[in-house]
Amino acid sequence: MKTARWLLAICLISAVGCSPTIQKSILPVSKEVTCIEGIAGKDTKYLAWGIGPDNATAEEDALKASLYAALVGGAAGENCVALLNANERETNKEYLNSLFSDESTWRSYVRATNPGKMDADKRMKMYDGRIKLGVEVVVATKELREMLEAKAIIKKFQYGR
Amino acid sequence: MKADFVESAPYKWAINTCGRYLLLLAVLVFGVCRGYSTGTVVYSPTGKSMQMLGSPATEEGSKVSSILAGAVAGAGLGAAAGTVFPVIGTAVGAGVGTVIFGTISAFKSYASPDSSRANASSGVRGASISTGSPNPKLESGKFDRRSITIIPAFYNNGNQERTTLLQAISNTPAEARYDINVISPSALEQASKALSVNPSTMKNDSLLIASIRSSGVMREIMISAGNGDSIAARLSRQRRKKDVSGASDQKISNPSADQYFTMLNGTYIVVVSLDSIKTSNATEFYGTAAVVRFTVNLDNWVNEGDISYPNPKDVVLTVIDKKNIKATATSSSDLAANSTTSLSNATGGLTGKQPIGKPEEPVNVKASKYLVKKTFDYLSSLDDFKIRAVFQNDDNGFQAGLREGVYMDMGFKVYETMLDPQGKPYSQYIGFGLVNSIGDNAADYDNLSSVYPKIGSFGQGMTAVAHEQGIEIGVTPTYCDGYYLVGLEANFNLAKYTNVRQLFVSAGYIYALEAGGAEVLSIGVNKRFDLGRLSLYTGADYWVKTNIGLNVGIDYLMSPDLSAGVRAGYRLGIISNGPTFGLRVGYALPRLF
Repeated sequence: MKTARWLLAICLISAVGCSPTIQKSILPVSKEVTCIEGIAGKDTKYLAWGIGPDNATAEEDALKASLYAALVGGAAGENCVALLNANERETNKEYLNSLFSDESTWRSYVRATNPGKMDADKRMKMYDGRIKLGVEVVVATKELREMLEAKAIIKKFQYGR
Repeated sequence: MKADFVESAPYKWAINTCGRYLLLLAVLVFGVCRGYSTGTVVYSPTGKSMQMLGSPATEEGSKVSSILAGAVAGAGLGAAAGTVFPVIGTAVGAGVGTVIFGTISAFKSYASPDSSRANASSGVRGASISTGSPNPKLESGKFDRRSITIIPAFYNNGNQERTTLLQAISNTPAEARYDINVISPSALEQASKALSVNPSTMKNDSLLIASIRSSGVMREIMISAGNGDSIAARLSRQRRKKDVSGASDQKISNPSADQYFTMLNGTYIVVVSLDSIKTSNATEFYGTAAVVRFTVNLDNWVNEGDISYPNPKDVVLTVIDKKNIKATATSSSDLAANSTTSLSNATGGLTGKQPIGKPEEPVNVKASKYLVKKTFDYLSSLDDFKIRAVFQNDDNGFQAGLREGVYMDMGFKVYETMLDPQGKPYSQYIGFGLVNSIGDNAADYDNLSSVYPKIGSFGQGMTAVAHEQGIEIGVTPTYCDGYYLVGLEANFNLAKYTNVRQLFVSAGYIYALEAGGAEVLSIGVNKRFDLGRLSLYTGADYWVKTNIGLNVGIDYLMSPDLSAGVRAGYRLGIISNGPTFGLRVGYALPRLF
């Protein structure tokens, strides 16, 4: 009986040890984004609600969410158009994952208008303890488009497309 | 003191002592019971709201405060009254104590912002523009800057007081937590003359509102508060500017719809009615202040050439609070008895001492200035005007400071916005802190003030809401040199004036429970050191014509206003020398000045 218990314990430990490492979520947790306005034809401002265990992670999630909205759409509001169409979205899922896994790359296309600043109406603690944070994010959509075009993810922007 | 005590026969002593202790116990129990019921009844609007919002901490805190406040007041006043009529006095004192605190609590709940802020936002007819605030009635919600217009109104008084009061209003610096709507002095004077109110009008909300509407001042305020120039007027100015100065031709940014909404719905009229003036040794102005809030419909605008503004006819006026205000000034240029130092601080010139060679201000000018100052003090006590600021870092730094009138040891309750499983936001009470550094945000907007967390721990993104405290009253049962004493003390925090935290002056009354009931007055000074919820107490006091004492102790903050602790010390003097041991229960009253 004792041996069986030991064997069971060893099996459990081995199973946990051999399981794949739990990775940090690559894609944004939150998809709650509102498009506010386009800025001078090259940037787009979003209000994105990020979710995370703390303020910093929630802000990071908001940055990701706005970038994700700029790429694949889904933002509320009427002013913004996604860079990828439905077909490009389906065929480039792997690329999107790789983009969001490279922090320095995706961060180069987004910036918070007031990084680290808290607004009373834009920070809430959810019932599960996570923080929901509203952040105004400017996405460099023109640069992003040029990068996607260079990588042949999307076709070159031209009249009639 | 010992020499004053009269020795009694043993049985008398026993009856005296036991009787009084039983009486004290009864008073405490009575106070607790009354306090409990007071807390439940008086706080029910706020408490119910908090309960709905799921904030047990707040509700409990309020209840505990009320319960123990009742006990403290009951015991304290009972002990005081008991010196004259030991039995009846204590019982009556307990009742009076609870009534007093009930009244204070009732006043606080009357000024509750919850319903008013909700109306301000949701009551706007046809307003399709969001304030950007998901739920403005939250305690942890956004602080929208207010703007006010003070209009003096007169009843049976001549033009002289009108002039001085108008000047006092015009010269009031907009340093605090609200903007002053800059309407022209002539428009203000015209409104003052047109505002036909008398004491009975001031009591009747609908009559007061009708009077404001007929005065014509709303148009001026709408234009001022919303800065309602039309785009055409702005572009016209811009063109002129470009022609004459070669300045940038970039568009002058117009206020956004959200900003319009916030500015116009954060607009208030404060009618200060000067009801009577008495002149004897001093000049006394007796007035009433009524605070009226605007709720603006942005769908109906009036266009007057280049100027457009929301139609005043569609503006909903609501009287949110009223208070009697008295201002006294003497001809000896001494306002200290009435205004204390805060007056000189706030108005920057009313020090009470005139420079040599400068003529003294007439008393009615002083009284007018003081009336305006008291009006501002009154406004700052209303929940609509309380400072609300968000912690911007994890070091308890929040974005409010000198500009908003933050001062050392100013109390702040801290809340956090929570989302329930249905996604509905509510405010959760987190704790209480005292300001330990003041940010000079007049010099740099990003300079933060910070609080020392007395109850709970705070974090970035939580909201601090001003909870100003005034005199702290306390009951101090003490054993000294073989005698049992009960003291009633009042502590006044000097931090606001000295910038030294937790520095108090105290005055008290001490009553010997035994042997004839000797009485003595005391004065003292004490300094407290924060240790989280605990405070290390050190103090010295003087029992008049009796002895001096040094005391140390520890206090525990049970709620933002209620503390309890122990004391030990040593007294040295003419009589009653030796060590002392005691208990203390204290309650901080709301700030009155």
